[in-house]
Amino acid sequence: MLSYNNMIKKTILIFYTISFVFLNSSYLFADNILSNKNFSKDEIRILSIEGDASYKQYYGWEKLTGRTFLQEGVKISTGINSRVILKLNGSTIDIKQLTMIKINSSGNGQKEIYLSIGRGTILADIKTLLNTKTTFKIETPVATTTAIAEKGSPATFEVKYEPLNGMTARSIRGKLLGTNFQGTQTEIKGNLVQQTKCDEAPVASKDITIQTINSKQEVQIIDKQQTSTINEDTITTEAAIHSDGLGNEKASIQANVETEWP
Amino acid sequence: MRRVSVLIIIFLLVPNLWAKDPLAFFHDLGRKKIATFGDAIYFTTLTVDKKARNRPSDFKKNLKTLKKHLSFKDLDYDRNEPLNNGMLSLIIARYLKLSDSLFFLIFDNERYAHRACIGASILTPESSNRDKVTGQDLIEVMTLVIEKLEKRIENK
Repeated sequence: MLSYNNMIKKTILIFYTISFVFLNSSYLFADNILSNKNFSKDEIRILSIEGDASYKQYYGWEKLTGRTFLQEGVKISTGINSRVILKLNGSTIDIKQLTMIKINSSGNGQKEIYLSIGRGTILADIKTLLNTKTTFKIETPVATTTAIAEKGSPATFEVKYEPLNGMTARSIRGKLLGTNFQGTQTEIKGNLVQQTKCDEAPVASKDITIQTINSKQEVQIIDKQQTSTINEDTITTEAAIHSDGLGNEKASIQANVETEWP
Repeated sequence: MRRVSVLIIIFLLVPNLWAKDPLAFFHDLGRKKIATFGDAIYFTTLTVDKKARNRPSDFKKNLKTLKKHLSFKDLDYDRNEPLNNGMLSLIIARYLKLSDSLFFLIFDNERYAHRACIGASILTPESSNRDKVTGQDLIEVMTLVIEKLEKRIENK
């Protein structure tokens, strides 16, 4: 029979062990997943990291290491004199210094590869696998660039976004389609550059849909990538409520919406 | 038993520090509507001294580092003073030693530093030296400065 003191010590030790595992679970299990997993061609792989890099998956920003397991929806940020090279479904993405991107889709299951750039520069080398066609889309607040690579026709391009100077897309190899906020498409090839400046785009260039007004207390605003909920106090103009003739009350409001990009 | 408990608690907490965000300064700066002079000094210091990342709030030491590495003259601004294009231009023009503007070389003030930066395609001609600088703008301008420095090193 264990003495009372020994029982207390054992209990405390078990408690500390459970706390240790709980507090460090994301760090420990990420390593375990990586060491046991066989990467398929569809996943986001980190090929190299130079300098300082961070990622944001579910919670806050954390240091990015070579063993971090990334999923769609992750944001990646690099520091000064830093660089991250990723592999997405056969294509290579070189994230330059002081850049922030979000990987909306990694191209898994024949979907297009879809990134958003918050700031900075990326160099993309798109290769297509087998007989499939790979579509690579990069979105910035002012314009979107799309590259399509088919078998035997890889594409390499560079996209840069700066809030002051807008988006610059350069096609190094293959063909690019640049689309500005008005929907105008321009074909870029042969090392040509297309620049779309910020003052050419309206302040709120994303589609915003007013979804519901719930008890006149909350308004849900849904745009392409996220849902923002604002309370009545933050609405700058009053909601004009009117009837649609079928007994339903509808309201329309003007609201200044700041969304976090990417 | 107490000492063992303290050691175990420290052991439990240390691994969490490994996951800390090394780019917290840039993420916070990106959200700022107006950057401060202290932000600009710290950012510039990071480009010359990697050890500065451990002292983001030590404004005096960062300024001293800039004086040591770049022969910076005194900049009489408070660390929390809102940053404008003139102040930022002064830092950049001295950092890059912009010598194309004769008036900047003679007077070494915000106004002519701003013009020198416009001449060097770092700031846009539409900007004014009194315009406030947002966090994102500061990151963008400093990225351009770093790229220019890298090009200079490559061309040497």
